[in-house]
Amino acid sequence: MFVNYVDDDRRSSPINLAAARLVIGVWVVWKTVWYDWERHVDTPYRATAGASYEWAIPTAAPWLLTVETWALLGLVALFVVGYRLRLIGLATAFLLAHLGTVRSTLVNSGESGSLFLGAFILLFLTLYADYDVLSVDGVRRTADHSVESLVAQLQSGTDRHYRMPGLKYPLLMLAILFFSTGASKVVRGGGLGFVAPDNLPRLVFVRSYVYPWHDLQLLLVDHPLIGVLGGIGTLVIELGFLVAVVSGVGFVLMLVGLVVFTLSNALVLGIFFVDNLFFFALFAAFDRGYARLARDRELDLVFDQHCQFCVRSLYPFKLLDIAGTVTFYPQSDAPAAYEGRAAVEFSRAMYVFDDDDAYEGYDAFRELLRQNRLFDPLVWSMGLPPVRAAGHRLYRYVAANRGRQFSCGTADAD
Amino acid sequence: MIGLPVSRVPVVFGGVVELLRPYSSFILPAVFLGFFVAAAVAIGFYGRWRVRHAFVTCFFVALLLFNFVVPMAPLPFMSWGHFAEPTTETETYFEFRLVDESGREVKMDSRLTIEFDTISTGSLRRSMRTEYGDEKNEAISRYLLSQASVYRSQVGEQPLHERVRYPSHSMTSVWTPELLEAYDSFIGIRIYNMTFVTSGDGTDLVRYEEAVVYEAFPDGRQPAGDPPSAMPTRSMNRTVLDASSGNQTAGVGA
Repeated sequence: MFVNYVDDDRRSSPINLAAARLVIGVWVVWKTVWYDWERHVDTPYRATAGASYEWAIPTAAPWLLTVETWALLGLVALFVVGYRLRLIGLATAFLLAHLGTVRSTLVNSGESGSLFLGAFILLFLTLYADYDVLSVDGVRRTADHSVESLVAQLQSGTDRHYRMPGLKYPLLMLAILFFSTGASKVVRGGGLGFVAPDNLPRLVFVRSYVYPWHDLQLLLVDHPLIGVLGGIGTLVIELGFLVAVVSGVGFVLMLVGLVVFTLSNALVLGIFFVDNLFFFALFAAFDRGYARLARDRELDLVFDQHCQFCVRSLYPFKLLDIAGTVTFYPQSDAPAAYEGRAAVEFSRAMYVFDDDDAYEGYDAFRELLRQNRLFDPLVWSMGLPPVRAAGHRLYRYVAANRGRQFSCGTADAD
Repeated sequence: MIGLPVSRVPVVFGGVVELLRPYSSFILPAVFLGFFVAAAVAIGFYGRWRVRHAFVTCFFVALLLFNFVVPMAPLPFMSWGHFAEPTTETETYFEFRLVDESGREVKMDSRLTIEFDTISTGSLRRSMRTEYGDEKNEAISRYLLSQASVYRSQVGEQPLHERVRYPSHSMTSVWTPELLEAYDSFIGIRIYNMTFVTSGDGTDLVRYEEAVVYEAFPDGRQPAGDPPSAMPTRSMNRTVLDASSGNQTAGVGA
């Protein structure tokens, strides 16, 4: 369910890093797009929660903050697809942290603190961007490889490992922060004051008057034992998470416990650390879910092994084929039975063969995507007549001009 | 630091923080920018593993320092300590209330502070009581009343962009159209100090007191009645009509 990257940061597929970029990107966009920054500046109570950081507010031109937000959203889109990750990731983290600083001048709760956590996560993913292969940068880097080595990669098995330190350090950071909040409860609570039978029931009881909401929380008041168990559970989870992360024992249990803890906080205290749910999601085993969605049909793919552009185009599909259901054949090694088929012309396009069915060019790409149910919506939309017609035309144009405009070495090889 | 008892370490760092406080206007921006310059260097020299390793090591050393040793964390670092202090039999809270023409009070929905967004009202209340002068406090009160008027007109409306909005950090103390039906126009702001004295097991209210620590009626109009008598209520409506006498008092219990 979840992956302990501190225990072992290697995975057999690079999918989790790409998924993490998507998760953090969605979170940044959803969280920041609502902020009305000019109102943050144009109030008589500006910087009441953080006067020390008033320097971060462009008071003369508050519209700059709005521009900054839209720039951030644009950068996040590039970050999600993995384009120029080092530059984009650094800029995204900086802008997010700056907007977080402005936000913290009015809000000093975890709501603004999470913006800095997000910035750190972006920075770690950026710092180790060279390990992130299922990205635009990953495909761009294949330009530095020889055609022969790329063909060898396409034909290699699935027993590969991809390191993910970009997720290892955010996990360690979160574990340390949870440990610190658990430790502060012990230290400031004078030992076990936090789990004393009167503590949580009283907290909930008084808050029920101060922060009116619903009566469900009063269960904790009527049954103080729940409060004691909740307190013990909180300490065990907050302190134990770091131990689990470092030792590798009970990690999933602790992370599930943190999810439950986050939801129970919302239910009992009315404080929703929704950001934490996104941060926990970064460590979900997306690759396992992706593997479950994979179809098990075997495909044979025949490609032009002399064309670097063609080979590079297939590189992401090799990375996505984590079950090894696609066999990549250079034209020279293609099974003879395929070449003799009617309407099959290897010099014209790439082909995918599914037993008796042959798919050419654009349709071949569509069949590659069909290998996983995750892409079913995309496959469906690619099959719509206008999209399909445009796709065919585009493929034919690229195939006809790959030597001149798409860095293909076909002519030289010939 | 060698030979210093561990328990003294935060105190020593606390002293250093106090010494540096006068220079915070230079130090805080420098820390913030310095952090990102260091990150840029580490990212730029990613091929040299020692540079990247040094940045990661320094990051975690700083994270540990600001969460376990130093009593404050300069941004972009932050420290976590949710509900670390255990509760005591006497608990004190403050809150903003809005007052209508009839003298009825409603707890302020903090989302009105930046229109469907919120600020830390605790910090605002502290600043109004201890830092700001009368003129600024009155300007803030006038602004809050204006915001309340705008916000009130939109409460209950759920346009699409509000429905897909990022979930609020705080889910309590929200105004509803039904709640607001009972109120005339808001003409004033009050800040209350509420004291709850609870039983030893924390499940009964032994005594409750509340006192107005600040009030402002910027337009000069005064409410019809005096502030209601002090009784606790679990309703946002901090004033309900006493059915037996017709006088307004606070609500009782839940």
